[in-house]
Amino acid sequence: MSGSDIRDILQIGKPTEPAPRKLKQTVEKKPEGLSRELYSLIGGAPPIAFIKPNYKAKLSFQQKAVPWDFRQFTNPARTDGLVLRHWVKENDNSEGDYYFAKFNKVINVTDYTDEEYEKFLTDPNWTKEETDYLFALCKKYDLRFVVITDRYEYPGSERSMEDLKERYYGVNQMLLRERAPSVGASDVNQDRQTLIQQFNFDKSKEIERKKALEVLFNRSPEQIEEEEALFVEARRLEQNDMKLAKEREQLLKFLQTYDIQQTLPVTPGSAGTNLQGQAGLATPGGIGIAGGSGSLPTHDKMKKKKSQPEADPKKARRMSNASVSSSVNEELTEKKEKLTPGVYVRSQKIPPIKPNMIQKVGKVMDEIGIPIRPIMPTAQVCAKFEQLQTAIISLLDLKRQVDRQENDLKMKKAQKSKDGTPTTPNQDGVVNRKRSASNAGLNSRDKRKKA
Amino acid sequence: MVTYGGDEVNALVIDVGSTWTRAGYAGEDTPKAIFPTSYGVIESESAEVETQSTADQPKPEDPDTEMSDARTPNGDAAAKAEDAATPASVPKKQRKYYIGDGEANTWRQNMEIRNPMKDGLGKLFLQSLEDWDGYEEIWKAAFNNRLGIDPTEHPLLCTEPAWNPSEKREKLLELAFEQFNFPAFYLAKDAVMTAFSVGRATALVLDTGGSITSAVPVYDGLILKRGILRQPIGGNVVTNQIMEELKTMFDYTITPQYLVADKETVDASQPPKFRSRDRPNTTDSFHKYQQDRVVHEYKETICQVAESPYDEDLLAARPQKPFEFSDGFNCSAGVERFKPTELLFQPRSYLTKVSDNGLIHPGTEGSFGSTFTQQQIDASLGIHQLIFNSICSCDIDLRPLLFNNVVVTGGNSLFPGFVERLNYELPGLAPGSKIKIHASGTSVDRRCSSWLGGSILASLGTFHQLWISKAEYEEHGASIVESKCL
Repeated sequence: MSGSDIRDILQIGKPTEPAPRKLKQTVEKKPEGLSRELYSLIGGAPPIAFIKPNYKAKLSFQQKAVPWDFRQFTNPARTDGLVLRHWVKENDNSEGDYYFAKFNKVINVTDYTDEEYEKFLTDPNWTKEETDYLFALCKKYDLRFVVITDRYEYPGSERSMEDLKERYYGVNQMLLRERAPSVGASDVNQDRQTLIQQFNFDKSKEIERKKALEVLFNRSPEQIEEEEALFVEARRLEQNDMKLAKEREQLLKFLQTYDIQQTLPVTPGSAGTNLQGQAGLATPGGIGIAGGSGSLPTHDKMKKKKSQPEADPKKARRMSNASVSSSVNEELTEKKEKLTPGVYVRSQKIPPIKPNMIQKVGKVMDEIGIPIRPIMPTAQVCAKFEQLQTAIISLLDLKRQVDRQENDLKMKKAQKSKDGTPTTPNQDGVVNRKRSASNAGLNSRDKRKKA
Repeated sequence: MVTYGGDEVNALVIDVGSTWTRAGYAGEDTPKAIFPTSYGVIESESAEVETQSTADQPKPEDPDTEMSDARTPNGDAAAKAEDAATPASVPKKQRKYYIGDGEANTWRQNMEIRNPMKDGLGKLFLQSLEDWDGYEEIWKAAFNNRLGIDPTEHPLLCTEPAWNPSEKREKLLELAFEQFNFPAFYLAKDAVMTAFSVGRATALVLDTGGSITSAVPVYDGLILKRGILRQPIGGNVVTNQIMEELKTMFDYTITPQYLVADKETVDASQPPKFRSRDRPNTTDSFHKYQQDRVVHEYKETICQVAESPYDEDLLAARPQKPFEFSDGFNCSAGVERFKPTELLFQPRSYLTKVSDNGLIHPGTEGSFGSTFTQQQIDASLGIHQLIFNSICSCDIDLRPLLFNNVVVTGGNSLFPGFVERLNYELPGLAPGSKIKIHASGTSVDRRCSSWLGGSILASLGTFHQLWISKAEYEEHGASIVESKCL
């Protein structure tokens, strides 16, 4: 698309100065021997968005290469001062300790003195020498009991891992207990107590655990198969149970909502009439197809339900399974008044007034001496109250309409008087007004009487 | 150096196996030098009296140059061996060693082929003093000849079998410090190194090599001695089995390359037509070694392990593979490809008593031709059984961990179908356990796994505190190896 095209589109006239000439000069000629198509592909005008290619950064020769130095080092984790050599950069002047020395972690294995052994640690099954040997092994193999058991070769004794563990933990526990400072802060003592707890080793329990594991390990393939089958079966049962529980819950919920509806007074307001209307329209015996005409069959079914209340649970479940659950939902959404589950105050169910009308309605109520909420909201009172409210609202509506009409009339009259033509609608308006006023009066009287 | 925990100190790693010796620099992924452990030696009587001390002047000697040693293989030399520097004034044998593929395989009059690591028939390696001399020669060949290094500049990590007795470990330590003057030395168990090479500290390592098959449980980088199981059934037995089979099936005895001047093409399974060379004074061991080499090739080219239980009818349906021997004899092998390897898994039914006076040249030592007594055959176990028994001798808490980390290495594991077969057999033995078999994908890794683990270990920064230094050796003596190299 060239510049002239854009100008055409935007309906701009020809440029005053011949700018494109400059452009033309830059356009290169197609070289000889090159097909036009190829040239248009590889050459021609440079693309509008020109991304500067990113090349690898040039090697900077300003920086001098850092030579490597074959340096000697000693490892502080060693005691013999062995000098090894490794390559480091010359500028690496980290003098300190050898980097990897800090990874030399040693597990502290408790020590005991001869005196302590005599006092607390004697055991008929263990000699001091053997205990010493055990502790030396513990230190050597960093408490890896698997290895300690493997390498344990004390002449004349055959010990299992549990024996060794029991002895080791027992000695530790004893030492912790006996080395207690007689007086000390309570929290320190508590810490020690927990530590002592940690060194508890129940040998018989451990042996039992290992025996159980052994049994598990030695299962035959058939046993394993059987176990697996059992497991699958258990899973299946569990799932079935869950499904059942879910269904039952759904059914219960459904029944509950049904009950609530039944106990509700048929409000004579919009909801009630609506229901009645529907009932009248319902085709007898029509079985609802879910999603089709929702509300009608529901009602129908409810009737059916009523005739055989919870006859057999199987049937009920099936029903709830199939379409009832969906129809219940529809029922709830269809209904004008919301059924809140659980307990509610009846006066809450009185339909609310439009917010812009509240004040006016309140005023009228005040006039006729009725509080804004019913004092004793029995079902009857509530129904009446609702009726009253709707009456007041319609009264106010009419009033407003009358006012508007009157205004209109006035305006028209004024216009007419300007033109000088007497009109009959004048009287019409008066009559209208009178009628509506009397109507209102009657209504209010009526209401007062009822209240 | 901080990011990957490595710190190179120019350490060397040497791994002398029963078939191959690997040597190289720590931190590299393959050894610089791989050569057969078997070496050639020519002994000649000489009346020379030599006073030679090798203790403090390790010289980069060519193995081809004459190696004279003050020791004799007789019993009375044991005392002298203690101190190599003692001048000997007895007339002694002069030995010339030929080490390396090219050297050992060249025909020479009276050259014996020896293997210091022979472990067949349950013998421990480095049995005699002769073996020790040979072992030293191997080190010399590796360090002086192949790597060309000055031993005083490099720490050395050497591998050893898991069941190496302490005298031998001490002797190795002596060798490193007295004979070679290494500044620092470490002896690592080959099973542990194999586990390290696949990045595991806990594993069951099944190593099935030339002369021995072993299962070693490794826990946290330490072997569990009570779980070690080994049997002298390895690649060499398979080799012998194949030779026996060729003898019975085709009435064919292998003529190695060195005896063949020229050959003619013959039809399959027809007796070979070749003109033999005149090779007087060939030793039996050399001949056997050359025969073995041919069978090795046969084994590596066409042999296979049945992936599922050995079923002759089923396997017979598999395509046959042809193989031509060095003397022109050629045959197509079908079931025969699967049969010899089956003894690895079912030794009791497939291991046959091999007699000395049949196929192999008479007089061959037991270390080469494997003769099994009925008792040994009865005691032998299939590889899967070996793994299972080894794991079951460990603590019950450890078993799941080991089953999940079965590491397979060694030349025999390279038979196609080997790992598949294990995968089939093991779950049958331990039905409830989750079993995972790790086998490195490349054949080099599997041949050199213990070297590779050593290479990794010796290049770690945290490892350098574990070296046995010369100072420590001089202070505590050789027994320090027991406390340092666990």
